[in-house]
Amino acid sequence: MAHMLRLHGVSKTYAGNIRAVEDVVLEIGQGIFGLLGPNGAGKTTLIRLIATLLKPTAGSIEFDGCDTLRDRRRFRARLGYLPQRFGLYPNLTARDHILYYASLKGVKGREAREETERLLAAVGLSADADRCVGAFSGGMKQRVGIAGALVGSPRLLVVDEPTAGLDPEERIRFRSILEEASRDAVVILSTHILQDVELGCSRLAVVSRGRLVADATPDEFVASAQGSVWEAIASPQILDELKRVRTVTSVKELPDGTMRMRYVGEAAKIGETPVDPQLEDAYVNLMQTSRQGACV
Amino acid sequence: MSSAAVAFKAEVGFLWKSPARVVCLLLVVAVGMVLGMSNSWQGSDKKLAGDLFQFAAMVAGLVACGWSAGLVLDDRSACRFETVVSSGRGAARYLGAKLSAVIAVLLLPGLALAFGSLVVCIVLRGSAELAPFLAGFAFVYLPIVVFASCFGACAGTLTRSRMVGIALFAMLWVAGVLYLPPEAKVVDVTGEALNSAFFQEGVSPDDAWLQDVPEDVAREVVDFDRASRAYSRYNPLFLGVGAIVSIAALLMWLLRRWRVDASALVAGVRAERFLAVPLPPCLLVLRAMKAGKLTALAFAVLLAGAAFMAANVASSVDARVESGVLCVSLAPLAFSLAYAGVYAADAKVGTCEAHRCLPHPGRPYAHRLVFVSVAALGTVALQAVGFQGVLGMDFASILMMGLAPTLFMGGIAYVLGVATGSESAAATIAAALWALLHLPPVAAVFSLPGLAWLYPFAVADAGWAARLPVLAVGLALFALGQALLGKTERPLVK
Repeated sequence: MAHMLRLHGVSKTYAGNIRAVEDVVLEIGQGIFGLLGPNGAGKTTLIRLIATLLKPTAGSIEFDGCDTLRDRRRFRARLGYLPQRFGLYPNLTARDHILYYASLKGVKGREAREETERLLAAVGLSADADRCVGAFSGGMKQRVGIAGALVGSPRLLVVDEPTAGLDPEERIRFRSILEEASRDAVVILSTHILQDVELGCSRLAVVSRGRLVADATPDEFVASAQGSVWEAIASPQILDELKRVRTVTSVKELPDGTMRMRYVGEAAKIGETPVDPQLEDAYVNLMQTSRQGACV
Repeated sequence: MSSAAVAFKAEVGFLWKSPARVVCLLLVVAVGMVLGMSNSWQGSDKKLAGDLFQFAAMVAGLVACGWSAGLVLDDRSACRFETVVSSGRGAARYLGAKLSAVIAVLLLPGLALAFGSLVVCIVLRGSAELAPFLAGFAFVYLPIVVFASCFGACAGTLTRSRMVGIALFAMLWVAGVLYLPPEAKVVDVTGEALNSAFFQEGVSPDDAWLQDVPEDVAREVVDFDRASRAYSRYNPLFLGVGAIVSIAALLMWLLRRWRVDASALVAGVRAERFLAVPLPPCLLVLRAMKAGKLTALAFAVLLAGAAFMAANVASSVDARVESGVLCVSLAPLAFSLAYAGVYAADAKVGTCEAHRCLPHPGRPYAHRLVFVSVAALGTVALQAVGFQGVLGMDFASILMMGLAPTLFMGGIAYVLGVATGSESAAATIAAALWALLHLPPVAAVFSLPGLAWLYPFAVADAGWAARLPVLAVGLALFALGQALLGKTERPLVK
């Protein structure tokens, strides 16, 4: 059965009339779904709403046809959640942690032990299973966290900025774990790292100031910036002037002292040529246009 | 290892591998043994057991409250709630596991005290029975530990401040050790009321020690004891109802957050709101050490003491002096906790590395020292005004009587904080030193002018100038701490 998460006009307003999330409508199917947005955009609030940690001020959330809040207990049993910051007990081993998460999920006895060994192997921690996590690197701790979130074979896996601070190898490993999990589950990946979305997600959404400003496949999203990305070769003085009026996404100094620059927005008429956009260009373009009220 | 065992290990894991916590457990046994035996060695096993567990419970209650006050808050600051709540585990199971872990660990020193005292009595007195010691454990020690754990967990969580939770319990505790009307025995949390209700015999006019005092005083003593014992019988009811109400209130608070909105449990929400409050730059350095909270604790303890002292105006002068001096002796303890965190709180969160790169690395800490010292000065000045009004004593002498030991102990705590880089280790060592200075044999050795007032019931025989050397030592210790800042590397990389 294909799993489906639906958000119907979800809003969350904090005390002081701070609107963290406003009228979000989303349908998220099986596979990895990327959630992007600048700092403070409301991504974490949205994720906490999905994880039933917060109650929406308006709207509702359904997973496989069941209201997540009304049927909270059943939903939580099918949810795997890795928060942005999660506390590990430094003096417990990796194996102890997975067993602990298993007990939280109600997985007991032999089943818990077998699940623990399977997950330790899946995240590549079998050799370090009996070491205290206090001595682990950041990447290893993240792997303990994701293994904990995967206990009980969740049908909805929500991970909030899991690859922040990881080295490239750890990030690749992490993407691989998520890809395996997404074969039979909905995986929501909130991140700042566009490469993770580009390489792993089948669909993405962008949140800005609490509102959903994009909901598309990565290809559709990139295509939306077609005709808005330019490359030009000009002097450093022109670069300085260009930076004041456009978002320059990359600069490279050439041997003759001129600069090759790539920027997003309308053509600045400095002898530029249009180029194919990348995900980063599309994201920057959207952030610029969303301030003027546009959506993808 | 079963899943349940792992869950329990995870809940109590924070209790182990912590020298400060082990010291607390040993302190419970040591205080019970030393004070209980020195008080009632000549009496029956029943009287001895009551005293042993009363003194042990006095320490264990504070420890239990201190640990449990941070149970929920620690999980919030370590960002564990998002995982626990979203896992589907119930609030009652979560709270039950946490509280039972604290209580179970604190029962260990009680049992050690019971069996250790039995062995000591058999060896030194020739015979002893286990029953009175187990009764002392069950009827004095256990109720205090359970009440303190429940009260601390509730007060710390609901006020969202570990320190406020401890301060609230400390107020009740101070009320228990001060000379108060007999009605106060109902709300005693030191174990004294339970001891007197179940284990001690009442004072009789025929007692030998009353034969030498005037008849009207003897009658007053007997009447007071009778009234105290009568009110002490209500103490178990207060402890039981208090524990149940605390747990019920905490559980209701948790359930609401578990089911409706976990914002209050999710780390960062309150901190972000707090950090959004603008503060003048000179006060920003105080945020890391939470000096405001620690100083609030000191004020709460001392003001509570001062209030009780004022309420005792009708009592005899001796009783008022004892109550007042106890308040004075609490100032060094309370402020040494604040001074311990001046540097060590930064070492805990790692910001001292950034401070080390400043042109003047000691400046942020100098600002904090000034802030805490001003608070200390204000507190002892308030006490001095109280003493002057109630007892008619000289203001300068009383001021120095409080200030000298406060800065002396504060200096020790600050240097310990800098040297160890651990706030809890520095505070624990300073508190142990404070307790040591209060033990009668040690107090007799160190009853130097200026330091004597650290001992709660010492006689004030020194003028303000005689306390200057102790004050100077305290200031020198602060200077030493500042000098060590540039040389100590270990805490910087903690």
